[in-house]
Amino acid sequence: MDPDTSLLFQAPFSSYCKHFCSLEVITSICFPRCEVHTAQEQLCEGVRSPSGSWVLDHLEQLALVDFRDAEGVERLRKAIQFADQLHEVNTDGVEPMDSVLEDRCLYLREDDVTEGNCTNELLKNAREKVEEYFVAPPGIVLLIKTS
Amino acid sequence: MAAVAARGCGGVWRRAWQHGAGGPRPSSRGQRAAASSARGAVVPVGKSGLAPWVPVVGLEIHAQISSNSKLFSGSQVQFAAPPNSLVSFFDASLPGTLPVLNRRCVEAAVMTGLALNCSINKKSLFDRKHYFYADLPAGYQITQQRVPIAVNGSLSYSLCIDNKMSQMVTKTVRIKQIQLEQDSGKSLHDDTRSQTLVDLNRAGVGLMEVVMEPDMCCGEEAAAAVRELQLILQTLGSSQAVMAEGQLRVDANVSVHHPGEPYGVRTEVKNINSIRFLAKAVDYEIQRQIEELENGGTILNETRAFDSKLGCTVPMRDKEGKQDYRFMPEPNLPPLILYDAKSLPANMNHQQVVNIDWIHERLPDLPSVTRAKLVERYGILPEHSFALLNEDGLTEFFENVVKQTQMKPKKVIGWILNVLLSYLKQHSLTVKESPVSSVLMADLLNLLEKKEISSTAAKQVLAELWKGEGKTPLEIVKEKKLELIQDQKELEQICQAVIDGQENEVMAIKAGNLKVLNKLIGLVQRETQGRSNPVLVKQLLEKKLSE
Repeated sequence: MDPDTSLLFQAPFSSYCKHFCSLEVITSICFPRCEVHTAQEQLCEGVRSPSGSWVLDHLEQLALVDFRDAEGVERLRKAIQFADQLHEVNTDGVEPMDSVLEDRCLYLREDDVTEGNCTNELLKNAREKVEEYFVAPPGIVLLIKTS
Repeated sequence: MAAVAARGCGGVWRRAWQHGAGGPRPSSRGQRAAASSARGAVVPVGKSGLAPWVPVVGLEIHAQISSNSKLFSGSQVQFAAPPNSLVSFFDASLPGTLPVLNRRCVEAAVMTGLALNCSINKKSLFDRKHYFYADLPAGYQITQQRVPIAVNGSLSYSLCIDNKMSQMVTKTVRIKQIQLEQDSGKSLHDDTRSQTLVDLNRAGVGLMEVVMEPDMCCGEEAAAAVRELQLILQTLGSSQAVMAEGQLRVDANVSVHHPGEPYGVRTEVKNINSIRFLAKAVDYEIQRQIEELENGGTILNETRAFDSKLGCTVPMRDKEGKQDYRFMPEPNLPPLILYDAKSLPANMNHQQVVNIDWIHERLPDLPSVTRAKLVERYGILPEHSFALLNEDGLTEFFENVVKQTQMKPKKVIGWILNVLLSYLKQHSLTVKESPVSSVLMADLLNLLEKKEISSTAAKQVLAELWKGEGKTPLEIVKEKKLELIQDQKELEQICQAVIDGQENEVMAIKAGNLKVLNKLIGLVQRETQGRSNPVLVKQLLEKKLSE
């Protein structure tokens, strides 16, 4: 990996991400099944024209990321361009490898209770708590589920 | 029109429409009475004779797996526990933790797949489904989106036509797939302080998601299918499937279209907490969509919540556009491989092997099989066997009574379903809580069978037994003097007295009006305080009147 582009995936880039965002998530945003090229093109436009900015808004909402300014968007565009290099490889007729563990057996655990009962330890790191409940930070875009 | 109406739900949909099931009252122009109006309205016709509507209902059911520990961690699975006490580091998504699959959950899913006639995928994969919510600490849920553990099954269920239970029709719904996935935690919304409290006890518990194809067309079918699934899961033991405790959750996908046209836009209905509410919610949504479309509106592809108090569905806060879950393979879990007798590797550790054939051999009798056996063994009707299996413990109670009494099962079933069950319902008791045990019931029915008491007296004894004061049926009979009068002479005297006192009626009978005889029998019964055998009384009266 060329040292310059590798930096894209390290601290400077990650610093633009709030919690819950990982490299895998970013690359999977970049590959929403069949929209890669359009997304990249629209991103290029998005920086300059308001009509393309819906892609940015969408990405920001999905990943809780803030691209903040033109420089941030440019880094994103470069990241997509970098990942696009994968398309140069002909993968016709090749089964995707989804895990380097493909030869391993999935280990099956016995149905015994071996963990839990560590409420205090878990709550130690919580910024806010109310009577042994975690308090969810305000302002998260809540997708309502009632269940 | 009649031919069109016969498709889909047919008669069942007609009735569901007629009763309105708590939805917006259909206007009279939306209904058209059929020629056979005894059954009520036919498939609803739109205003000015527009084509009828075909509702389409599909279900997504989440059943919590009955296991000691969670799907990917060793925390305990328990319904009520102090908040965050059943949570491991993995469940809380602390960095550095990894999922470890629970074998029992795999077996439960295989059992359920086999019971629902599915093909079990010998290789299935795990994926991550990403979305943000306070009760999902990892920001993703581990599920099986690409290749689930079981596919292409079917579930057969029965419905009674006409609400009379006299005619049952069997229907089938296709099962698209069954997949293993994690449950999320619970969030409590504290609106006063605009914060959300999160309890992760439920986070990571194993779920089986059963996806049904949209083969159903009304609330009643959906409810019957879910009820049957619930019974199957409980029989297998793979899930306790108690909806009230959240162990069985159902989301309904509802749409309507005209016959011959493509499917309409569907809405998803959530927050359904019981089987009864499921039927109501589905029926309401169908009617709402029909009304909306007939008034020129459109249906949005949205998620709606069922409000049980108002009996209607309301839109949940709008999710802008379609959700993008960004599925990706779960990198920490290799494929799940299942074996059968043929593919079983010779030298593998038993504990690491899930053998589909081994599980198949040990499946218990499914409800449909048990019902057939009951009908065959005891000569009862299919609808009786349905009623028996529908109530937890009732089948066992019935079989115990039959074992201990000389009364024929066909007669016993009447006492169990009509008398005992209605007592239980009145007092909101389960069979296990019944103050009358199967032993006492059998004793009582024996007295009746030996003709020592009348049927009316038996009911009185049962009422007394229900008080649970520990007396036996025989003791109650003696105490309340309920025995049938066995002395023929005494009976004859009473009959004579009645005849003497009812001159008009006697003349009518002698003139040929035999129905009046019943009145005389009734009078004798009253005189004897229910202690006379009506058959015998009739014989005696007839003999006397013909003299």
